[in-house]
Order: sequence, then C-alpha cells, then structure tokens
Amino acid sequence: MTALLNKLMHANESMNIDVGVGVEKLRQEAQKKVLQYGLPTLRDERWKYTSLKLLERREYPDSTDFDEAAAIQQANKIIGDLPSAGLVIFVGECCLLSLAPEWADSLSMLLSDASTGGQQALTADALVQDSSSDGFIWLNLTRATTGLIFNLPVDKSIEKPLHVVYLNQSNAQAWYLRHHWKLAGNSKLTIMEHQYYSGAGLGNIYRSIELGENSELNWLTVQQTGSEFVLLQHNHIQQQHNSLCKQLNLDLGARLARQETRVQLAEPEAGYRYAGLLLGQQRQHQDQHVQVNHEAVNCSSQQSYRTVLGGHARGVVNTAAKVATGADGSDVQQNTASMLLSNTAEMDAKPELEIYADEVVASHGATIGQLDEDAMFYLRSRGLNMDLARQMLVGGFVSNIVETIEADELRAYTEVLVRQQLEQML
Amino acid sequence: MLKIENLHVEVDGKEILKGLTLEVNPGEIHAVMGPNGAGKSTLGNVLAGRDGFEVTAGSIRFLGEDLLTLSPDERAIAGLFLAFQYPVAIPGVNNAYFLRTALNAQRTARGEPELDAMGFLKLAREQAGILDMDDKLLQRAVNDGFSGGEKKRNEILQMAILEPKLAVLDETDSGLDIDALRIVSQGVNRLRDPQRSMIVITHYQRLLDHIVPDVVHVLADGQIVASGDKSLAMKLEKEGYAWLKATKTASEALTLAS
Ligand SMILES: Nc1ncnc2c1ncn2[C@@H]1O[C@H](COP(=O)(O)OP(=O)(O)OP(=O)(O)O)[C@@H](O)[C@H]1O
Ligand SMILES: [Mg+2]
Repeated sequence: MTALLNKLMHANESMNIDVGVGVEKLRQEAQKKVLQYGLPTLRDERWKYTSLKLLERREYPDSTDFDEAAAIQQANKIIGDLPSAGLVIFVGECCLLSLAPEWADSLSMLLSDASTGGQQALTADALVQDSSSDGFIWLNLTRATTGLIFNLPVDKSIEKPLHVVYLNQSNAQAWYLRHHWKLAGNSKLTIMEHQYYSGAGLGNIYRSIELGENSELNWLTVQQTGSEFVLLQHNHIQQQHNSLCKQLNLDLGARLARQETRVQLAEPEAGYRYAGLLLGQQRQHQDQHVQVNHEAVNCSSQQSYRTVLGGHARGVVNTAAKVATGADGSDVQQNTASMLLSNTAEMDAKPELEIYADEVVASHGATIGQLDEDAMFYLRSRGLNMDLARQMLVGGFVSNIVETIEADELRAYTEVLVRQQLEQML
Repeated sequence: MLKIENLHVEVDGKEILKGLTLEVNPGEIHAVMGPNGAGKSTLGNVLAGRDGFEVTAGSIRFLGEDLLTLSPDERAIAGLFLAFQYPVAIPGVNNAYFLRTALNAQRTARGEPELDAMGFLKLAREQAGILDMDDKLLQRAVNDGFSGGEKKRNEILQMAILEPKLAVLDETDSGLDIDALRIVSQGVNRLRDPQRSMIVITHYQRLLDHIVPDVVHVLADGQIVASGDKSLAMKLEKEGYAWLKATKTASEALTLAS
C-alpha cells in the first residue's frame, strides 16, 4: 500500500458514523478493492497526464466543527438571484438543505441515514454492479457518509434548478461525497452545482445517475475551487429509452481537477450532450475524461470542449465513444478546440472512437492554436486596446459552450463568471 | 492630414515600399492603383500599424503627429480607418457588440460619452439601411460566414459608424456586384466631408466613376510612379500597366501621364 493510500484510508477515522449493516458490508467489499487496485499511477492510461505527487506531500487532518450560518450566507451569495427550487449545501461532509415544497415527495435522504434509502441507493449503485479498477472511486465508497440522494417520481417536472453548493471551512482535509440521482420516466430536472472549495484539501465526489424513459436532466457544474484544491470526481450515468442528459462543465478553478464520466446509452434513442469549458492559468491542471458507450440503436452523443490555457496550466481532454455491435443509427460527435496563451501551457486532447456497429455517423476533431494575430490586428485597428481585443477574441472562442445553456438567467450568470475569469487571465 | 515622405518598408527582410511619398490634404480623395504585388495593401497595413511591417526609412505624419509611434488602436482613436482587402472573421463575437465596443472605446479615449446598447442599435440599423445591408448581419459573428460582398459592406458600415478622419479603402470594390458597388459608393460619398480624407485603393476605373477622386496615383514596385487626375485611371484601364514598365524612371512616367 502506498503512503498516500495509507494516509487517505486512515484520515478522519474518528468520525464513525453508523451506516447500518448492509452498507457496512459494501464498504468492506470496497476496501478490499482499494487494496487490490491501489491508487492510479502515471502508468494507468487514463491517469498518464495526471500526477498525484502533490497529494502525497500533503497531510489530511481530522475534521472540525462547522458554522452553519456562515455556510448558508456564503451559499446564498454564490447563488444570488438565480431561480431556485431548492438549495443543498455540503460543507465538507456535512449537509444543509432547504427545499421548495415540490421536492417533498422526491428527495429521499442522505447517505448517513442509511437504515433504508441510503442502503438501497448504494446497492443499486452503478459502481457496485459494474466494476472499475480506479482506487479512488472505491475509496469513495469506503469513506463517503453523505450525498444527495433522490428519486424524482414519474412525470414530475421541476422547472427551476436545484442548486448544490460545495464548500469547506477547514483548510486541508479529505472529503468524500456520494450522490445518487434517479429520474423516473417522463420526469425532468435541472441541477446546478457550484463548487467553491478552498484551501489545500481533497474532494472526492462520486455520482451515480439513472435516467428513466423519456426523462431529461439538465446538469450544470461550475467548478471554481481555490487554486490549491484537488478535486477528483467520477460520474456514472445510465440512460434508458429516449432519455436526455445535458451536462455542462465549467472548469475555472482548482490546482488539480479531474473528472471522469462514464455514460451508458443502454436503450434506443437515448441522448447525451456534453459541453465543457476549461480555463486554466498558473499551475492549474484540469482533466476531463468522458466515455460514452452506445449500447442500443439510434442513440446520439455529442461532446464539445473549449480550452483556454495560460501560464503553466495543463489541460487534458479525453473524449471517448464506443459503439457496440448492433447499435446501428448511432450518432457520435466529438470536438475539442484549444487555445494556448503562453508557451508554457500544455494541452493534451485525445479523441477516441471505437465502432463495432455498421450504420453509424461519427465525427471527431481536435485543434490547438493560439490567439489569431490577424484577428487581433483587425480588432485593434478598430480602436480596441490589447486587453480588450484579447478578451473579445477569447470570449468569442469559448462562447459556443455557454450558449448551449437554454435558460436565460443561468446562461447570463455563467457568462459573467466566464468573462470575469477571462479578464483575470488575460 | 497625411504626409508620407520617402517611406521604405520591409517585410520579412524583403523591401516592399521603396521610397514612397504621398500627401493627402483634408477633404481630398486619392485613388491608388497599381499592379498586383506593387505594395498597395502594404501601404494600408503600415498606416494602420500592423506588426511585421518594418519601416527602415522615411516618415509618416498624420494630423501633425508622428503616426509611427502610435499603436494600431491609438491610430484608430486618432481617426484612422483601414477597410481591409480581406476582412477577418471573428467567430463567436457578435458583430453589433464588436462595433459598439469599438465605438465606445474610441469615444471614451476622446473623452466623449459612451453610446448605450439601444442608441447604438438604432445608429447601426440606420447605417446598415443606407448600405442596403441585411440587419441580420449585425447579430451574426463578425464576418463569420459572410459572403465576399457582405464583408465589404460590413467594412463600410464600420467606417460610417466610426466616422474616421482618414479612411483607407483597400479594394473595397472587389467582390461587389454592380448594384452593390453603386450603393456602397453612395455610402462612401455620403461620408465625403471637407474634414475627412480618403485613400481608395482599386484596380478598376469603374469605382472611380462613382467615387470621383481628386488625385489618382500609380503605385508600382514600391513607389508612386505616376500621379494625375481621373484621366490617368482611364489610361490605365485602356492600356494596362505595361506602358509603365516600358518607361525607365518614375519621372519619365510622370511626364507620360501628364
Ligand atoms: N509576409 C510577407 N512576406 C514576404 N512578402 C510579403 C509579405 N507580405 C507581403 N509580401 C509581398 O509584398 C508585396 C506587396 O504586397 P501587397 O499586398 O502590398 O500588394 P498589393 O499591391 O496590395 O497587391 P494586390 O493588388 O494583389 O492586392 C508582394 O510581393 C507580397 O508578396
Ligand atoms: Mg492588396
């Protein structure tokens, strides 16, 4: 067992929450997996760009109490006047809830309340059924005591977004959250996540997402954690007939942010759309892996990324799709465009297509460029100074990602975040 | 307004302008004609301040100031405008937003009040109307997917809105159909003003029927080799540039032209 794994497995052991017998058994299984697989290294294909040295150097002390009022205040400040059907705040591994009445019949419970719902959720967990050799997600199962777990009932449609805010109040620690989101047939939901961790901590978040027939999930994540934070996330999305998942990720912060998403388009006509924006500066490392498996006929997936990197930032975008035998009528699109603002920034874009079906429409493209000098001159010749011209050019380059957000308020809100980040970078 | 003296310009170590002298007074329109590769666009680019065009000798004064010490944006703010031969597409940047930002950057720099979005849109629509330009082009990304003619109209629209003191129009006529040529020329003529000068670069005498110049110059091999009135353009139209090549010196050409 490596020193890092040892540190992480024994950090915060004092916080012993009774999770019930069923869950305890799962955890023991998970612990075996952790020991079997260990933590990933640069030799693992999916981790080959992502060094964990930083994590090894750090310590992960025990948790402290938290200030509820301060957390609520901070969360409300982040959300501002965005429309809202509820607010879930995670302060480290503690959770605060305030929900609109329409949620009353949907939100089951949190993981730590494992006597019934938490356990059900865990045993239905995609990870538990499936399997992965990534030690971090098994580590999550051994440690996580909290998460957002809900079943959105059949035909239920909640217009306004549910906001999930991630915060911490102690500095260097490791936190584990495990979500289970289930949308039943014909239901529709928007979730907006706001990740504002700070300090030199480690966040490990796992999400298991199931989308029933004809359901639709609009899922938007703003990752704007502090410049020393390490955030590791895994998502497993299972989609049934004609369901639609629209995922949008804005990676604006973190020292190291890595997210791996696996999508199973298990039944016909399921659709998955991913739009991602990576804005990196200084020594940030941002890493997105999305693997979509087309397992049934007439499914579609689109992955679209824009990356802008300055300073010594590093970006990794791995877009993978696999179309199984017989999954005819699949439509697969991947495109990644990156702009490097400095000679020391680095980008690895890795598109992968594996196609075993006969009738498939597939396209992928990856470009890496710099600020276009002709365009810069054109803008400046109209009176825009260097900074304004750069902001306008880069703003234009990334605009089509944010434009995919349909709700006006959410789009305007994210546009401001992106513009502020660019002003700071340029 | 503009005084260029003995201008020598190198690009990538190659001399393109070889002692160009040109003076433009307020209110004048000068046409610059000349064979492909003569250095016409180079002149426009040097005036606008593009990187990579190295002035090795000579001077350019604009409204009494040394133009060469100014950055491209400072030149625009001082009142210089270049309508590009090949306008650049800026994907993702809304045309109206770009133009408004440019106008307000110039206004702010001159200590004038900014124009708000509503006021700007009214102005832009009005000017687009004059150029018979589709309003929709204002809401598209700058020059992105514009047809050749649409790009040229968009350049003139920018000129009309920014109201420069000196405009350099680099082959604004090429790519325009006959009706568009007339409409765009009318747009340009509306901007004629005793305080505004223009340098109109073109290959075709036809444009000069619409925009009647005060002076016509022939730029060949990096120098002004002939200057005259409109009849010089007619002569070029009929005889091409071959007769220029036959003449040995610039002064000889000048005599020929007069
Ligand atoms: N970056 C460069 N490197 C080398 N030569 C260049 C460069 N840019 C321009 N030139 C050369 O400078 C010369 C003048 O070019 P310029 O574009 O000014 O010509 P022009 O008179 O505008 O021609 P046209 O009528 O075809 O538009 C040409 O021979 C061109 O190839
Ligand atoms: Mg030219």
